Amino acid sequence: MSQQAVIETEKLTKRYHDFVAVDKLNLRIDEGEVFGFLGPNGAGKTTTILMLLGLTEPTSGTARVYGYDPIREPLKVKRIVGYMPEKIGFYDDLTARENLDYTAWLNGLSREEAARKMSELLEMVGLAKDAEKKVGKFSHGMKQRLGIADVMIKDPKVAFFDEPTSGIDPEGVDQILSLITDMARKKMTVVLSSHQLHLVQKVCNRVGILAKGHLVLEGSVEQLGRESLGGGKFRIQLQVADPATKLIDAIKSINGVIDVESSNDLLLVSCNDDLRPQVARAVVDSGSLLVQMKIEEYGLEEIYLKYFRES
Amino acid sequence: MSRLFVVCWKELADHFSSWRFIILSLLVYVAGVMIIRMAAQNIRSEVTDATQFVFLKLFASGETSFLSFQTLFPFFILPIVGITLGFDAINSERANGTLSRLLSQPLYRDSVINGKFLAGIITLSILVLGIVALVAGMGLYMIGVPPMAEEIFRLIGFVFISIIYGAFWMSLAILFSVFFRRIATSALASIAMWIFFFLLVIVGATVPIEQAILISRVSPISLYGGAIQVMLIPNHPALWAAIQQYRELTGVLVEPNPLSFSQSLLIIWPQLTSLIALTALCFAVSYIRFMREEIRST
Amino acid sequence: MGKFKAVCYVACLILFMALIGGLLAQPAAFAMSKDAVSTSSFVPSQAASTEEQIKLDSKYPTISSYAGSSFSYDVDLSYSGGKEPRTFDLGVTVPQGFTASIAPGYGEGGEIRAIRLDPTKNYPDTIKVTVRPAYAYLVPEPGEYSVTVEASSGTIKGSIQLKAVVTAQYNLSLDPATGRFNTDATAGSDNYFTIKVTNTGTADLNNIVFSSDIRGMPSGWSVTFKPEKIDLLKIGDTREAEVNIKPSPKTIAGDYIISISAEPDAKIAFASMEMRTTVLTPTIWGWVGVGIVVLVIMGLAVMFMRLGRR
Ligand SMILES: Nc1ncnc2c1ncn2[C@@H]1O[C@H](COP(=O)(O)OP(=O)(O)O)[C@@H](O)[C@H]1O
Ligand SMILES: [Mg+2]
Repeated sequence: MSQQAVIETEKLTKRYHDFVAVDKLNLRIDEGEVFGFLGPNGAGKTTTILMLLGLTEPTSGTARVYGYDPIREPLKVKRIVGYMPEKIGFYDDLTARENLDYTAWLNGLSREEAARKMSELLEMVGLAKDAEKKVGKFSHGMKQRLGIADVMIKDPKVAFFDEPTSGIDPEGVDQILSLITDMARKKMTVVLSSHQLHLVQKVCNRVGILAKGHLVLEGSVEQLGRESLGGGKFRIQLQVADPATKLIDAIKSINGVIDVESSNDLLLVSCNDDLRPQVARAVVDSGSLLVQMKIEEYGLEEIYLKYFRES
Repeated sequence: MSRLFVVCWKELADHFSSWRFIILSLLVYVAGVMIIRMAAQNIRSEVTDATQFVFLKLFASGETSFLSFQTLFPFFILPIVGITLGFDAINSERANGTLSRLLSQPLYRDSVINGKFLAGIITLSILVLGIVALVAGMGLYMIGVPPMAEEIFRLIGFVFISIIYGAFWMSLAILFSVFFRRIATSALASIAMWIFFFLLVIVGATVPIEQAILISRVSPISLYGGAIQVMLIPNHPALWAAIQQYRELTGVLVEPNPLSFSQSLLIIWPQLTSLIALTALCFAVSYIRFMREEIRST
Repeated sequence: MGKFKAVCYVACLILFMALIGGLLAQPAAFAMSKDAVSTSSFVPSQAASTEEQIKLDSKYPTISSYAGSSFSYDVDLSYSGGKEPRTFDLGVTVPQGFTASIAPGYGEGGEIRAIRLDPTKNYPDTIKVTVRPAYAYLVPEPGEYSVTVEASSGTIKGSIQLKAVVTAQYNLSLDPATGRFNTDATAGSDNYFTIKVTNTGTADLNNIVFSSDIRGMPSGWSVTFKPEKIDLLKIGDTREAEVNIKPSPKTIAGDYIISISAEPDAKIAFASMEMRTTVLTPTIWGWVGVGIVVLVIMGLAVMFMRLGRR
């Protein structure tokens, strides 16, 4: 724990009258992580982010961003934090560039630096062509991408993305997520809040699952998957005409296979990679007949369903 | 501080590229032209041998007429300009979803209100200075009598008080824009206040004197109206009552001497401070509300 | 002849009796002897046998009028004593510088030189005698002039003396020298224009002074004349005077009506004219005014360009 905690909360609580939106949340996010902040609608994700940004005051508990209190030292926090709100909005009668320029200016960037960065970022998010168009004419996806550029222009140390994928078509989602992971590569801490677990899990190296204001689960995707399902990331299901123990051993000996379970003619292989070719060869080599084979990706979805089915 | 100027500059740019400002300037400058035309008609009959401040008459002619500074400024132009520049200051950003983004930038929340207010004041000042300069210019061309130093001081005083009064309406509108989420609601609330004070002044003309005095000390329209009367009309008929009494007592007929500029300032000091206090009050309430408020984009 | 004497005797008797009767009926008649005589002449037919004579009479034998105008008299002619109508030549004697004409009745018809009178008519005929200055440019001096109207036919003559009293006419006219009744003036500075005053009367005028009045006049104006006074203005003479209008520096630009009048000391004549004076803005302030307006517009334009986007 020598590493500096980017975000640290302690018993962070937000209460709206009788309703507890965030309940004694203890959270730690380290530098360079892409942290998936997951949970169904109304779980309290946005409220937590607002408290971390100083946009709302916690009822009790503390929040720290790089050691700064967002309420007491709002400017210090806001200098290093980027935030893309849930319902992103821009000044409709300004162009994309003018909108970014305003943010750049508010962050004290020099004119030349701002101009250079704006062109770079607009290129990066694929809006170079539309830079001089008024944002009022932008589609939701374009605004979302402009939002990413808007976060990036201040070179934040930590960036919060609140529901960046909601209301966007699948290709758009891929584009946005790949932009965000590109950012992560720049040694930036990213907090990605979403209720669409299956969309974001791929890009997160750690997730926290929030339900009714409680953090119910926390850890890396693999770790969580393993912990809850005792296996790897993938599960290959294959049906063989007459499974022999020799075959099970052969499969077990394949590099990357974690575990093999068998029940009658059904074999369940858990592994870290897509090992279908190797498994298929092993079956053929053992002389058995392969009836069918399919692969299932394990992930947070099941965990998610598990946890939220309960609630 | 510098962030405040960034907000102010951006807001100024917004104003200057908006239809709103173009319509406002049209309103203001058309009013200016009408005032000068009205003054052109009246000034000859109003300027007598005793008139010391001929140039000032341009701004104070046709006192009772609709098309004069004394009527248009307190009742119409400044409330309209102030309200128009302020009624959606905060809630339009909220509705647009830009407020969350703006407040996640490194600037204090009050810089947002202050920057917007400052930009509004600058815009307002440009409009007021514009109309006064326009009337002065056209008037000078028309009557050919240059202003004296005293008259220039008085005009500066008039502009200054007008800006404060416009700022009051703007701060009131900003207050509503902080309180009400919906732009239509804040606009309506501001207009309602305008109508309320308007009616209060009209009612003030019919009620007994004690109540009328009370109204004139509370209603910003009366405060401002009284102040500019003293500024623009150095020997205002209001002074004549005392003169009349003196005449009845002593039988000596005296013309009311024009007040000096400093004396006029002294007379309107209470009105001025009341206006500033009202403006400050609106601000204080806006701050208290806005500073600790939750900024949620949905 | 005896018969003629007898007629004369009877006539004298009747006349005597009539005199006595008249004396009894109207004792005061003698007091107006002149009238009585003239009245007696209006009884011609009864006195047909009396001497043949012509009488001229006028109800208004003295007329007074301004120099240069004409005098019209109605003259009654009564012819008596004759038996048949007779033509009388008519003549008028006028002083030098006058001319006269005679017209029948009360002025109808053309000019006549003679008139035929019927002695049997018991009312007089009337002619209209008009006396006027002979030359329009030579106005007669004021004074009394006598005019004699004469009617003659052979030895029968009659005449009447009429009197024309010529009085003097004092008249002035005042006009701008240029004929234009408007002028420009700059506030605070001297503005000159010329007026001319003419004696259009029939007598010389002395000590004519000028005065001015500005309607609803703002103070601080001065209107001065050069010369201030005209000592003598002969009949028909014209003099020019220079007017200097100096509006006060605080005058509001626009039109002012200045009324200028001329009047002799004796206040026997008066002339006035109105001058529409357009007070112009002193050029410098006009330009300053235009400058301010231009600055406002330019300032706004610059603001729009600097601040307004796109
Ligand atoms: N101003 C408020 N007053 C009362 N309840 C609120 C308020 N803001 C949010 N909530 C409630 O708090 C809960 C958490 O909201 P939020 O943090 O926005 O959830 P999400 O995880 O979807 O972002 C929701 O149930 C919401 O209804
Ligand atoms: Mg949310």
